[in-house]
Amino acid sequence: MNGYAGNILRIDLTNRKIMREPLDAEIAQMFLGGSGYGAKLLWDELEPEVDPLGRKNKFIIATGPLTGTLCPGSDSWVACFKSPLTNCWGESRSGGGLGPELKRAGYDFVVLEGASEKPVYIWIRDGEVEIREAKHLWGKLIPDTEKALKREGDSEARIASIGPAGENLVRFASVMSGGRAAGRCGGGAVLGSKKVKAIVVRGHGGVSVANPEAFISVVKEVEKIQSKLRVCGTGQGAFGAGTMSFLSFFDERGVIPTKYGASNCWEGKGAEFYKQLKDKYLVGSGSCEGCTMSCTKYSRVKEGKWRTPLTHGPEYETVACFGHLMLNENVEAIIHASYLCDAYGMDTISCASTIAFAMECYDKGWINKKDTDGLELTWGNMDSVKMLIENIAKGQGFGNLLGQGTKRVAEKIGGEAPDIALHVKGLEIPAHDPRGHYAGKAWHVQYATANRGGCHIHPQEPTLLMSPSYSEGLGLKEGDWPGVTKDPSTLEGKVKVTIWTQNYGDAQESIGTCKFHNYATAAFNPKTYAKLISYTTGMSITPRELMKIGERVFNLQRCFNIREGIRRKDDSIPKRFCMAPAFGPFSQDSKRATSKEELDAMLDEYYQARGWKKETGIPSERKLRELGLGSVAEELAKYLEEI
Amino acid sequence: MAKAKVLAVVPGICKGCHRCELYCSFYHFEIHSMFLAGLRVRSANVNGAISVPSICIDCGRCMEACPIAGAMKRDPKLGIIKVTDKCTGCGQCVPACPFDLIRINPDTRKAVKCDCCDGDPECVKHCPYHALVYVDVDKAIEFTIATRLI
Repeated sequence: MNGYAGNILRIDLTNRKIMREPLDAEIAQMFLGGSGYGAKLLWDELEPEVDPLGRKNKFIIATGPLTGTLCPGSDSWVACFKSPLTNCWGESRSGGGLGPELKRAGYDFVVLEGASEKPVYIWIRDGEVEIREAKHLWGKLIPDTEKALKREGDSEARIASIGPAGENLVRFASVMSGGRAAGRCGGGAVLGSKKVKAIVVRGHGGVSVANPEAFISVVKEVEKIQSKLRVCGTGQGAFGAGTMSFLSFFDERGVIPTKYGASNCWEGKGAEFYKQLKDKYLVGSGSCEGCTMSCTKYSRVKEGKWRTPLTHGPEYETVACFGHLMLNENVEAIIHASYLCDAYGMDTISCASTIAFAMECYDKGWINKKDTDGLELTWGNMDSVKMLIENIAKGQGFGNLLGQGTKRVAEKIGGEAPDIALHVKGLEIPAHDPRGHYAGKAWHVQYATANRGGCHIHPQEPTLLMSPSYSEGLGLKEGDWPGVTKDPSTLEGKVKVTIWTQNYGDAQESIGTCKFHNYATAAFNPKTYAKLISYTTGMSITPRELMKIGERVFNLQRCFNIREGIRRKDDSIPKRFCMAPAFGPFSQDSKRATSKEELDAMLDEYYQARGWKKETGIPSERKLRELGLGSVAEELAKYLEEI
Repeated sequence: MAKAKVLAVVPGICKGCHRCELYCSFYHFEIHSMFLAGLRVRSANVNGAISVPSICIDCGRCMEACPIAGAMKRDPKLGIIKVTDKCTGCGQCVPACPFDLIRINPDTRKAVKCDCCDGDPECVKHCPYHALVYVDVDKAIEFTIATRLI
């Protein structure tokens, strides 16, 4: 099977059984792979309402047909599972070489089910698969784990592992692979609950394509467009110094939630952070496998209180969340916090956001020193933050509570706390404030409806189509593509754009490529991907069909969420994002506020356009059948009857 | 006769994207495989913060180790050692390579070794960062000395 390795590796951890299954060509045709195929597997195999940290949850590592090929940005693998943070659809994408290596070893998917009693790691070397003891690795930080595994296995093996945070079932624990993180949704905790410390892969095979000549000519076309951009091929990707280059202009536009979302910018701080990071702390750049952009950055703090060894990042989100969100001006402390989160294996966004939330509660007097184990949680107090990060990872004291995520902490504190909490469905909001974005109110729709909760990148940023360079590059025409509206504050066109980008995003999640290449250039669009997939797999897929696949995946994941109890009431956004900023240059701008009526109107429009029921947000049977999901519709109807 | 050209690495540029290896195996075998590539990107320190392509410098040890006459031959025009049809895949050249760059292709049962793509190396053409060059021997000296010291 061209483009695919053709095998699913299924590991029953309870009974220590290893099984190989052939890939289902029909499902591959419908869902391609990655998050789409993963959604199909989880829909079929997971019972509703299982405990995400129990034996019945499954953890899937999924690759797509383009993973491991020469298509730029093809170093992708997606972890699919039921999220312990949101109790609904959980997925997390990462680079780091694991995906291509897995395909070279001969597997498209690894399904981990059941749970081991003792700590183990999975060793995959081509046909040789073993469940090995990991007692000596349990408790180790990620860098030490990777070092030890490379020493005892293969120095060129690719590894996905969890740190102490995952072992201690921190609900936003990440799975780290080669310094890159599958951070969001708490996949690390799912692995921790199964007592799987790591998955080590080494493959000596290859990925073949159906039509090599046509495939390589498309790749070369893309490379040609990319080579003209300063963001590619220079080590300066994505836009200068990696994602942290967004800091200055996002701050200017008012895109960075500041002081836990009270405002949407911290005047001048973004530019200052960027300058300091670039001039003083960045030491080099690197790349994921097969990538032409090299957005990976390395930094270190040589000396002083925040001395930090060479580490990945910090990425934009990390700087904004450990900086703006908690009013911290110390860049060295940000790098250190980023390092700690990576080493302990935690999502920097959720971790920083939860701590910032605790700071706000402390500031308001809802919690005090007694609750925080004596820690002074004043704004920007990075000494306390450092302590807290460690305590969260180790599950100690107040950290143990914070490790449950913002939603649960807010419920515990009670009172007004849930009203100010920045999360959707339990997933903490990243550093993208709708009150300043190009796409404006489209962000409300995206945050409210994204299947994994409050997320900027899953399935896709609505900003993508709003950004003039992308839409012009695509030669957008009215009717052909969703209309591009110039005014972020109106409701016009926002729903259309969101739906289009969500479908496109989910198609990409299923292809097995990095979405970052979209922002650099319009070289990648549904047309390019359709060609690449067709030439790789030998299936004939048109751009329209590709978008349909994206829609199918999005709907299936929605059905998964419906089965977990998600309804229209859960499609909400944090109240803070509906109000005008409390301070800062945009505080007088009433256009930046969004009323409940406006939000409701957008959701009505959204459900209608999606073919979902307006009152409940449940996909209609007609829509599901139209997407070829007849069996899903039947099962969903049966489930809805029962409850 | 034109001066012999060789592959060389420009130090300090490689980002570790492995596209050279993918292009190499794709050009020769129409497959994306690190295993079947004639060069290797080696990474060290915190998940590849330092990456260096390891290339064939044509030292000739593989040919010395080869037990079959004519299985490895120096191309008179390009000056590089090439694997011929006589190769039986015995594998004696594999441990002889000081840079661990030779593999036996399990399908063809022949040694896989850099052949500079007959004078137009794919790895050089497609490195997004221009970390590889194909230059006259005289010019290459400065690059290769620096690379070997790393």
